[in-house]
Amino acid sequence: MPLRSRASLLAVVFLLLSVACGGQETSQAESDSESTSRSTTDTTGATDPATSEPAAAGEDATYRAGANLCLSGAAGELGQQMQAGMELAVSNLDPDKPYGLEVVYADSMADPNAGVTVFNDLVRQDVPIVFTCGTTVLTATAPLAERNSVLLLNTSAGGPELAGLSPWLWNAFINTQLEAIAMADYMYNELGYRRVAINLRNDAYGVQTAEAFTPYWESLGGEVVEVVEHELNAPSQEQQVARLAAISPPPDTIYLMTAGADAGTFIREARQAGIEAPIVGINGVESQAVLDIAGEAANGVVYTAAGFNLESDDPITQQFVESFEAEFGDTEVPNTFLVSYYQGVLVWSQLIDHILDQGGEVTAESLRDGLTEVESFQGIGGSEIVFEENGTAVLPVAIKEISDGSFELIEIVETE
Amino acid sequence: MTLFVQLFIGGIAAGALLAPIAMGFSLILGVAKFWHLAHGAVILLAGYLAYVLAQQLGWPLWAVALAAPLFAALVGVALNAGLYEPLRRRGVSAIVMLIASLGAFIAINNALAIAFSFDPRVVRFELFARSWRLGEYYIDAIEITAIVFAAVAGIVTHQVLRRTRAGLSLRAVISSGGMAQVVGVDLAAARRVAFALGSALVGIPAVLIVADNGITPNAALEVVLVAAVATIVGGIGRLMGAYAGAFLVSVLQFEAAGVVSPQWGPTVVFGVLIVFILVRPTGLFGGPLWKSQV
Repeated sequence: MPLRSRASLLAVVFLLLSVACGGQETSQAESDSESTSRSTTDTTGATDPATSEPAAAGEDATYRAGANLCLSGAAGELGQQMQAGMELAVSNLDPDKPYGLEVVYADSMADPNAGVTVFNDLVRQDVPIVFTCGTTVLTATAPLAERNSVLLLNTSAGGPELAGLSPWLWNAFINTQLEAIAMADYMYNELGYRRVAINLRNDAYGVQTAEAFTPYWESLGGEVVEVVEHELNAPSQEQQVARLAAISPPPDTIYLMTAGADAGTFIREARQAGIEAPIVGINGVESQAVLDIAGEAANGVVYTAAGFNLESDDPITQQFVESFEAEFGDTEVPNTFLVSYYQGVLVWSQLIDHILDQGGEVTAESLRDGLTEVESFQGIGGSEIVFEENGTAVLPVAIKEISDGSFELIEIVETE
Repeated sequence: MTLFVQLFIGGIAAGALLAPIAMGFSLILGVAKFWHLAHGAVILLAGYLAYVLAQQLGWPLWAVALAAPLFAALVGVALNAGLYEPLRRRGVSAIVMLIASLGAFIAINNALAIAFSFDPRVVRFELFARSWRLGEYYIDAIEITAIVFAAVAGIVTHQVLRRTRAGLSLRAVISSGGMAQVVGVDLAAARRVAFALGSALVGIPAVLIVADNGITPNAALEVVLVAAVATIVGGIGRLMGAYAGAFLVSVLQFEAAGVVSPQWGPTVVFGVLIVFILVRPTGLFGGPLWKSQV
């Protein structure tokens, strides 16, 4: 072959490999588009955002927060639920309180690059606290939060790697490691399983969940008979299905440590292959993509999720339920993230109450310190939210089941 | 042994899905003489059309299966007429054509993401709901359909190229564009036919992708890259080589990913690519580069 032709072929191969690597990196960043951001402002008080200042105790003031949400892109629908939850909570603020709340919303598209741009923009607007969506955005902005002394409050990402990541990152959402412990207890004590096969997503979300689950499961007396892994956004999991189908005797259950389309793909292909073992999962299973891809095959999948008991008769839950139904109708079921962000605003408001009660000034530092000074925060479902020193809250876990296209609650368990 | 055989079955089915795509890619490469990466965009457009027709307009499967290849052919011809021929008239190089193709792919990819988001779009066809077991092994309806279509597509394409006037013209251009022109072959017409036929071949695979685990804007990138690898492995300009290469790389990918770990799948595929480039750049069935016969 002429040297020029071989060189041209190598150049083409290099370009193809570059495109392949770029595509995979983008896929892992949950975005495939150019990084852009836009800001919108939702004002509840009469204060001009450009001139509002933290108030001294006793004076009416408007306290501001940033919301670095995934309002468009792959997680856009979830981001809009998050915004809806925050708006509902802000509108439900007790009018007798000596302050108002204001949230500056911005769109990160769940992309870490865009999330950093948004965060920097919010910092320029002097917000002391930023609610943030997405594990990758949180990990990208955590160092910036530390540098700028801005509190990041996570109310939607359960990635185990977020616990203790930064002294300025506090997690008010159930961690998948705690979910795994709760599921281990449920499987062993309630369902009677003893032999588990694991299919985990090959990143921190899956790997660290498995690392929390496996030793605890074995300490109960259970056995992990096989572990297979898959890549994020894998178009097919037939290789993993084949390995699990070859296990003899079959496991009592298959534990899916993955989310969204990946979970749906595996469930569908496993059932197509004739795997009859029950499938259990973590919060990522609660996804429309699972229902779309797996269809009826998803029926009976049991999983853990953030635990909100909306049947509770405590005043906070009742107010939430009534206002939600007034806004969205009584046939709609509140999305987990909508509830979580509503609860996040409650925590924020209770922090402000604590600081003002002590005669202090509401700053990023006082908000952060308050997370451990306050013995417990009142959350949705009558729960008491307690933040540990590593910045992660101990929260109840819901055991749920997919049934005919809906996500049904089985029970709420308290975690330690 | 059970695992090895089951992975082989899965690899053959995956290869069957890829083979028509790789044949189309190789045909366009052989006739148009550049790497048409926007072949992936044609897959996406055909897939999303199938989704819209079936899910939103309620078309039956047979109608979708007819519409998707026709639409894909139109898209291919439109891309050639609207993007590549104007560039060709300006005398640009093959590398520039490749970059333009990549740009078109990215633009269409992102436009589809805006229109449909990144959520997978799935259609559940009743025909594809079944699966069968033969002893310890299993196969589902989509895999069987892919294998059957790959066989039909391979036979039909081979016969078209062997026994029709247009097919002979395509083979002549693949063999030598200059000589083909000397003997009276209209190169521009040959390119139109290549884009039409090569793009039509992705229509049914696109429908199967939608019916399987759904289509997303990111679905086609890996497919077209592996199709390019299959083309090189089989021999550039050798359509049946690309066809065979698709099965070879798919089986290797499945076995490596299933027996070792998922990361080994792409590693093996691109490792094979590098080996062939260095050791046998003409591919399994190739003659001199750019001068192969079907």
